[in-house]
Amino acid sequence: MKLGANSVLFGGYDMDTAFKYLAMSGYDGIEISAIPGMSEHLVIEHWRDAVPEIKRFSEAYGLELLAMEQPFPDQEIMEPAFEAAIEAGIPVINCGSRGTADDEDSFQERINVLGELAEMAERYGVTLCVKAHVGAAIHDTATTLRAMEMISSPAFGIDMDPSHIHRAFEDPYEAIVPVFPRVRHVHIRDCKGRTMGEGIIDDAGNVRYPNMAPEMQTCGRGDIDLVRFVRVLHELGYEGALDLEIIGAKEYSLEQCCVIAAESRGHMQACLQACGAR
Amino acid sequence: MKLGANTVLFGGYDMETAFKCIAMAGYDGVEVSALTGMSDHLDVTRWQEQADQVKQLASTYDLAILAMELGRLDRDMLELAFQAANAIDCPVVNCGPGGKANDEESFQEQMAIMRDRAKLAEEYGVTLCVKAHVGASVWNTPTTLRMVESVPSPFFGVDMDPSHLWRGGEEPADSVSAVIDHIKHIHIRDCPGERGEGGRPGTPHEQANGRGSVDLVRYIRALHEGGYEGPVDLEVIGAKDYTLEQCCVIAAEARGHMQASLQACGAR
Repeated sequence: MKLGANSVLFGGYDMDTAFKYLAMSGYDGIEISAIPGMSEHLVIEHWRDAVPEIKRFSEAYGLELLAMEQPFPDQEIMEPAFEAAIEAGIPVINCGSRGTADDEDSFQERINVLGELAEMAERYGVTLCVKAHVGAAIHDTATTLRAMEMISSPAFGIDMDPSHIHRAFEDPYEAIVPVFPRVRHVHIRDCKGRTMGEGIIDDAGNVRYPNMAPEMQTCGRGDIDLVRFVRVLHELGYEGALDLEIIGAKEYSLEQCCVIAAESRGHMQACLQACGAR
Repeated sequence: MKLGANTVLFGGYDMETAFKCIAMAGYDGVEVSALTGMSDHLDVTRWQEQADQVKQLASTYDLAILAMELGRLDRDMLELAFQAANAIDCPVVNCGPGGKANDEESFQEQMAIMRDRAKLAEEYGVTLCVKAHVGASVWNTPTTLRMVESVPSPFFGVDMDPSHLWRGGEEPADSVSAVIDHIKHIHIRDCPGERGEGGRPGTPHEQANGRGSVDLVRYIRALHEGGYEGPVDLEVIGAKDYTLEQCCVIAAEARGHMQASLQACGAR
């Protein structure tokens, strides 16, 4: 397996900074964030300007371009994202399904959209991955399996994220088995509790959820048995990317972002060593 | 086991920065560096001025004071270190063995010194720990066992450091069972290169757990299976000129590796 991290963790900093500190933390590669509002790394509208820079940073810091996250399953945004991926040499584009959980009409509509996007991905020669996401049309193993059955394109894959499966009240170590044949990417982070937990109101009057804080998403700090999860992935024969995805750290200091990246990398490294994968 | 880090990793920064960043990286505690030249953290010659600050930092950052590293067995300095340890509620003071490897006269000389220092430790109710160190009178498991036989004090213990044993030609996980009854502190870090003379201390980044050649996952499992429940303190040497981000990365990466190692053997 290749260990990477989504640059969104360094969303408050420029792309050079993200590459620099992910390389310092020992990662093999990087997932480029094209998530508007959370980072200004790859802005899809300006991909032609950004791609040469991405390629230059990748070479300078020795980080393989493992994936891109462009969250919107929308043809107008996804097509330039595919073009950017081809130009940069990025093999996987991750997105969410959107839609509404437990709403059959929404599910069918999302499957149609994702099916068309998968066909487009096939034409471009990239892989479109979708993950089960809390509250979305695809939100658990059952809906993931339905999507796998309904979208036959080989360019469609599953982005397995144990944190969302955990929050769907499933055990990720077991849930990975039936979806594994279509897993083409893994997003990883830890998770404290299965719900958002109790909120607190901060000094600015905003509601904060301590259980969802970026530091609590650091591998090893939450409730998910990631040692076991990585072992199961290894035993199943997964050899693809394992990209850390930490959300919400845009306002964090550089030291805080470095700690989250490095601590997670150290944890994943030990997980791989514990199961004989390294 | 309690996970800590020696403040010497942040030797280029003040003590508060070290505590702050070690806490940020999720450690349970801290080993206070009294290694002059490598850090300006605790200076035992003026511990009376610093004790309150150390205790305040421990409280502010919620870090247990797991140990202190003095390094040398100098009697006057060690007595000051024991006084400081009492003042800051620090249970363990770590030192190197001194002397020369494979020199019986040197070994016996160091044992006499250690017996004396162990008596001093007993007077202060502090535990003095000594580790096997490359090139020193005590440098591998056989000399460690001779050391604990020569210094029979309840206030004396082994500070086991897998990196030095690796460089001494041993597989550290296999050496645990022989000394487990005497281990009162663990210094931990990784080590690049081949076991034995091929091993080298490595750059600070290479000392981060998981980056080198020592099987630290198995080492921690061996400690857990041996019933060890004391401190495991990361000790990374040579980072005085590193940026704060570099120091944070080393501390955090090593903590993540140790956390997973503990989880993998059911210790957490």
